[in-house]
Amino acid sequence: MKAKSNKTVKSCAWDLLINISLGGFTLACIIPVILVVIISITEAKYITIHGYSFFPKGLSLEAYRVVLTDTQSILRVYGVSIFVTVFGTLLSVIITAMLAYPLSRSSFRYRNIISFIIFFTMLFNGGMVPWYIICTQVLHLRNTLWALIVPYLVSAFNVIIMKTFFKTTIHESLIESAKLDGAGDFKILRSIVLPLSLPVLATVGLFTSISYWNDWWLPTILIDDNRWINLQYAMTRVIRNAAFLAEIGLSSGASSTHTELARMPTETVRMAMCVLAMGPIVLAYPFLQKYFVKGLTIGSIKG
Amino acid sequence: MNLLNNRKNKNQIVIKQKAKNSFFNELKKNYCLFIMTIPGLTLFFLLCYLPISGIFIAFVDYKNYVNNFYLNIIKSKWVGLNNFTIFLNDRNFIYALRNTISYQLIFIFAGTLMSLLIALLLNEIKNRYVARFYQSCMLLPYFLSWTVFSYVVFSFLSVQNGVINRMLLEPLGAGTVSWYMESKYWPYILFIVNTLKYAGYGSIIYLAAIVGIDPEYYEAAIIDGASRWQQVTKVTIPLISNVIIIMLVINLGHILSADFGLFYNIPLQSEFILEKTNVIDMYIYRVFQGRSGGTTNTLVISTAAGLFKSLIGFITVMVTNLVVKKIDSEKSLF
Repeated sequence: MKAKSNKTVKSCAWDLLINISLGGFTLACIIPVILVVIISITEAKYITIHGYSFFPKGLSLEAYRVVLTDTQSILRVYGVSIFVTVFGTLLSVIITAMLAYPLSRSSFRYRNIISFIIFFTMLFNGGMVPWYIICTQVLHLRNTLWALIVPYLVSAFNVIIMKTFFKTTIHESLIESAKLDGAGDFKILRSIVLPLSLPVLATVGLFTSISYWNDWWLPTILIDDNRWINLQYAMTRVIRNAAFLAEIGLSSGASSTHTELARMPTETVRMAMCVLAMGPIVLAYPFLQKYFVKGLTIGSIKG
Repeated sequence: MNLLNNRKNKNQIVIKQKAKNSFFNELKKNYCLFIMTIPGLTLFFLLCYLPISGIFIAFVDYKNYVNNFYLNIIKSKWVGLNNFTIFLNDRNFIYALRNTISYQLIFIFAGTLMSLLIALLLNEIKNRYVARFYQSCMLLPYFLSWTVFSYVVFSFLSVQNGVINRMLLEPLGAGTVSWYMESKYWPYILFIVNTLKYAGYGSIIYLAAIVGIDPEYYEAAIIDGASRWQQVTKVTIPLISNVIIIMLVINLGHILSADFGLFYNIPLQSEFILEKTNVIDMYIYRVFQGRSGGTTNTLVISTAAGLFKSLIGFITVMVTNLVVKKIDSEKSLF
């Protein structure tokens, strides 16, 4: 009897320890998000006196009013991000599905060569500079909206995931019978394969949309026209200027920086931008987590 | 395998019969499938294969003669491996290489350990809803951009308003720290940020492996009187050790591909801490932008450094794939 109760006590202690360590890490993962939200609703005055705080006195939604009424720049930047994400994801999923479907058909003779051509891009690339030259001199993407869309349209990884899914879930006989009924390949893809492949379409679509929404790299290297910058890039510029002026400029006593600071978005507005940047992901997250996890494990399946 | 050979033989006979116009026959039979591949293949050609043709820049003394870079390459003087010796003798490159390898080694080994730990702990939680809640929260950072992370880190580290300086160091009476100007703290900061972003994501694959273990092993272990700790060390870990080793090896294949987003965004490109935050991709980018002193022909040197990275990366991936194939041929890439 005594031994048994000893055992349960030990077990409870284990459970407690496990929950504390996991809970601690979980907290570390979401605290940053919470801090940014709190700063964005802190009164600007409070920050200048006390700095950022988890428990500010005095809340205000002024920052969001500023962001949402600034139709000149901030809303335009949002518009670019939203358009690129929606349009780019749609186009990317269509192109990927159209490429993956022939590769999944065993009656298509050149599927192995084409698969290798695609797979090879995962192993070797020309590097950043030749890619940049092709994008600017051959494709003329510089300072166009296409620069934010075209480079991420195809990825070998997505094609392989989709090909594997088509091959393993959609039975060849289904396609053969549709063929006998006189359906062409486009019709088979549209009305048989795609409706049966919603899980993989959702997974690939979600990952593509997140990479479009989170992208800061393409505008960094391909855009210097303010009309076509997206949200993430605008954010990197703002934070960099802020950090430079606050940490380095002021400490070295440069006087011109004060005027620069005045023109910059205030701290709370900056954080409000950040909240709106993570907003869509955080809001969609609970509903889409199913696909996220599925997609992450699909990646481990051999192509 | 037999089936495949049969088909191959059959194919060969067919090829012999119609050797002349087999391509056109295939085209006629499956023209729809051909048409479908056109947009995707065109994009792969333009975005991946055309840039590969541009690596010849690395071997010439590139000058802008006309407005066509292929013609420029042909007209420029061939200098062989000269461009490579230039950046290999650049101290900044050596630092960047050293940083890349040491950061990646730490991230790979410590990161794997963290992910494994999380997976083991999550598996011990019997309440599915609680486990699901933990997992959801830990996965969230993976989906946030590096830009968002740079804001978060800045709100902790900013000299004037940062949480660490204002809420921790000041009340303790310690002086404030200019985090973005002192390089010695950055290995730790980068490690923490990287772990927060990727540990939860990395745990998924181990958790999947653990969940896949046959419960009978545990039942047998319990009958033999194994404690929970022993169940983990004697059953779980040995049974997923293959997955752990394979993930380690695969990650080691990408040892030169440090996460550019992390090193570019989180330190806010501060020049003062570059010594500890420069990695190869950043070196290439900075040379290309003309922000790294010492070299004159920035385009050529950055191309050469990029090609160096691609080649070494190709070799390491091939080697690690061979190793993975030895361990478990199912898991190898090809």
